[in-house]
Amino acid sequence: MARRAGIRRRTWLRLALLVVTAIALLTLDARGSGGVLDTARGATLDLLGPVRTFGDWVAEPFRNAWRGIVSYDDLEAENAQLRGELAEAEASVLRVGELERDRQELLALVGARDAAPAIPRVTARVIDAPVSNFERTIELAKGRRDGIREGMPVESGDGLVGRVVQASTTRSRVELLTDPNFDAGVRIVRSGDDGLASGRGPGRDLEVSYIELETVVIPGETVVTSGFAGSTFPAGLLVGTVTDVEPDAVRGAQRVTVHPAADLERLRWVQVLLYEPNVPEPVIVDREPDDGPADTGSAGGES
Amino acid sequence: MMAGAGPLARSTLVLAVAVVVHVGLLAHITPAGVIVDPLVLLAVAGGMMGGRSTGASFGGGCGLASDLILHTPFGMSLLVLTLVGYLSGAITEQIPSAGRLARAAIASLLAAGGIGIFAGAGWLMDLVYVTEAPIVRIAIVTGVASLLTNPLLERATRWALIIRPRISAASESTSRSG
Repeated sequence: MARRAGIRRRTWLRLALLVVTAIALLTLDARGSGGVLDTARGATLDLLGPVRTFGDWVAEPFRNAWRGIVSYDDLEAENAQLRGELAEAEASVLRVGELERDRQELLALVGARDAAPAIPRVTARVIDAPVSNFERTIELAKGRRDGIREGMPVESGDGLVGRVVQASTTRSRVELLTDPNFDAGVRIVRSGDDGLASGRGPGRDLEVSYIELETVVIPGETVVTSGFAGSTFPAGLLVGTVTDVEPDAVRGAQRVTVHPAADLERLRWVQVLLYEPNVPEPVIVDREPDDGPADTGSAGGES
Repeated sequence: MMAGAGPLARSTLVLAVAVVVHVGLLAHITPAGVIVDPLVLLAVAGGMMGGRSTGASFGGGCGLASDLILHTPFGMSLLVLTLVGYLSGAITEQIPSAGRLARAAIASLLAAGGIGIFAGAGWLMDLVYVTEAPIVRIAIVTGVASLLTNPLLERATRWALIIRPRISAASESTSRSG
């Protein structure tokens, strides 16, 4: 009898210890002080990376064949649409090239520097197989080794996809813009009004808040990132198009629904913008001239 | 090579194999659009084979492995699968003489219940991506997967936890008394 009671006590103790450990880990993670936890997750991501890539490589032909069988008509229609879009894009590339030349000439005329220099990008393959039914991120087959860091924006050819939330040496995870934790400063292009776009869950459109009641917003308008100071995103990344507008008299603002431009269900390749927000301006140091010609205004921030 | 290894080393090996199978194979096979999580099935089998105490520990190990590969809050899978392992052990202890088929059916219900516990934890933590997932469909597919794989998983956990088969233990005591 006493032995049974001892066993029961030990069982309860073991269970309590495990539950307390779990709660402690949850607290650490929620407070964002899980450096060790992030490292452990990053190491696991790196360790399982080759397995994931191999599995994806093996499964891809079967997946493509299956998609071909079940959605042949859709693929055909999509193919025709893409051909049309490609022709349009080729025509607009010439026009954009001309505009860019004009812009550079004007900047040179007024002696101004380009405020938005081209942001370097890394193209990465999406591992097309979430590991959980409750997954809210996508995995990329590139990581810190390629310059990717947490917070960097990710886009596909169609528009903004999300931001990097975890980067290990060879892998990274991206939080999609439909995630409820996601928000970004956006601008409605036609009116120039700024708002805050928030995710509302997988498969659902974004909601843009803080758009004034007086602003006229029409469904079909384009929404881009505003890139205001401190934002994770640079200005001008395509977010999506307005699908619905609803006045919210209580808040004195409009609730604008935006459909993401990127097809988040069929991501194969994406580009990570190597853009880091809140990077301090490089300090301009006037150095004493050496033997050579005077060196004025050398930026010390580059490394 | 592992014949002389203790339960900890064997369990670690079983969990490592389960993780590799999960990310390399099962993530690509999605019946009804659902990914079967072998760690949930293992936690159930561990509890059923080892009882509530061992089940809690083995479930905890499954949870920790799961926490390392998922992006849900760290500790959530540890908490859920510890409870799943414990409950599996506690429930199975009430019906010690259940046959193989009955055990598979119980495992199936427990695995589906495990998904329910996960969803409940997600609801408590206000995780929209958990609560808005098709919980019923996930639970059904996980239950069916558990039903089909339970004999194999029981064998794996019996080996990992170094548990003698019940039949041979019974026959041993009979022969001793004889």
